Amino acid sequence: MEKPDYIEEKFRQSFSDYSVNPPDRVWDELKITLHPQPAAEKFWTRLTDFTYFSPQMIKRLAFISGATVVLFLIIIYFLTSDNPTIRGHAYAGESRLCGGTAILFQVKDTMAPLDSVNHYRTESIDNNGFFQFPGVEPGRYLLQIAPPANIGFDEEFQPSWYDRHLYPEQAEIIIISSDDVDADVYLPKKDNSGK
Amino acid sequence: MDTDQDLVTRCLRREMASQKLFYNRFAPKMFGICLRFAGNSTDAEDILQEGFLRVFAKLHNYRGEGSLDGWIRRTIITTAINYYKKQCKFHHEVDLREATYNATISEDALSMLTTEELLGVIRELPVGFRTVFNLFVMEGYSHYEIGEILGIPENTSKSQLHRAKALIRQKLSEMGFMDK
Repeated sequence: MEKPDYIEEKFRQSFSDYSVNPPDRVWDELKITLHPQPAAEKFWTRLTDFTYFSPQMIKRLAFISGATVVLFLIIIYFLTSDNPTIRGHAYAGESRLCGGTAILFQVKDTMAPLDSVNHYRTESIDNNGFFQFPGVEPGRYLLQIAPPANIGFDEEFQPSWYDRHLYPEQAEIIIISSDDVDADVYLPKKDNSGK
Repeated sequence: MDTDQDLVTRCLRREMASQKLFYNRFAPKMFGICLRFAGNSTDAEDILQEGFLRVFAKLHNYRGEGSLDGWIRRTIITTAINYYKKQCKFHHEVDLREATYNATISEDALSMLTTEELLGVIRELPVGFRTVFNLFVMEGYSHYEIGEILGIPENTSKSQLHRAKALIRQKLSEMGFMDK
């Protein structure tokens, strides 16, 4: 005959000391709920899902990258922002030059003859005849304008020196100290009489 | 080794190392309970996690009267019951027909069943039957207490236990451990 409580007894005995180790993730999730991470910490921890680095290593790399970018920007700022700008328009007759090149030379000499002249920088002239040299360090400069070779200006106008001279000996020296300088240049027409 | 009361005191200070120690000490046994009440391992893990959250939140209510193990056990069981209460109404599962599966037991065969196999049998029970069976057989609650806990009439608890045991017999028979 069947004993009515035999099944109950069997289950009771089998499970009296029954214990199973839960998976680690149960504690991991419980721990996070008990001790929530600040949002910033959570961000760094999330990043570790996409890389092989630890959160500390990622923080260090991020700091180094950020510091490098900031340093670079600071250097660029000091190189360019403190020094003044030479800007102006190049004129070919009544109209403005359309394209061409503006060339700046640094002059070491304090008096003529100008023997010690070094190329400083070259900039393009836009379609409105405008050019500029930002961040020019203080000193003495000569500015030359060359018309574009492919539009036809070069057939009528000659490369010229600030502000309207054919030869560097005649050019006006631009003196840069702390302020920006406007330097418009007027290209003289070519003498087609054969001179 | 720390006494339970020392451990509770440190856990109340929210020391993570002590909470981990507390968890490691009691979680395996409580997970065993969760596995009996849950229909699958994932649910059991959820119940265990939710149960321990509740334990840590209510730990200040433990006055050291009675065993800590028993106090945690009751909290885990309550959590397990609430977990399924959210999903179903126990009294909806009441089957007023009496279970009529009669089989004679093969005691020798039944004694060969492992705990894991028995766990598999429990898990296949519908949630209402499983809960009543767990509470009555394993935890020693009376039908009156089960009725109070689950919000069902005492007779429904009796009926569910009867039905649960009938289903267990049927399952064991299918497994070849019963003689019809």
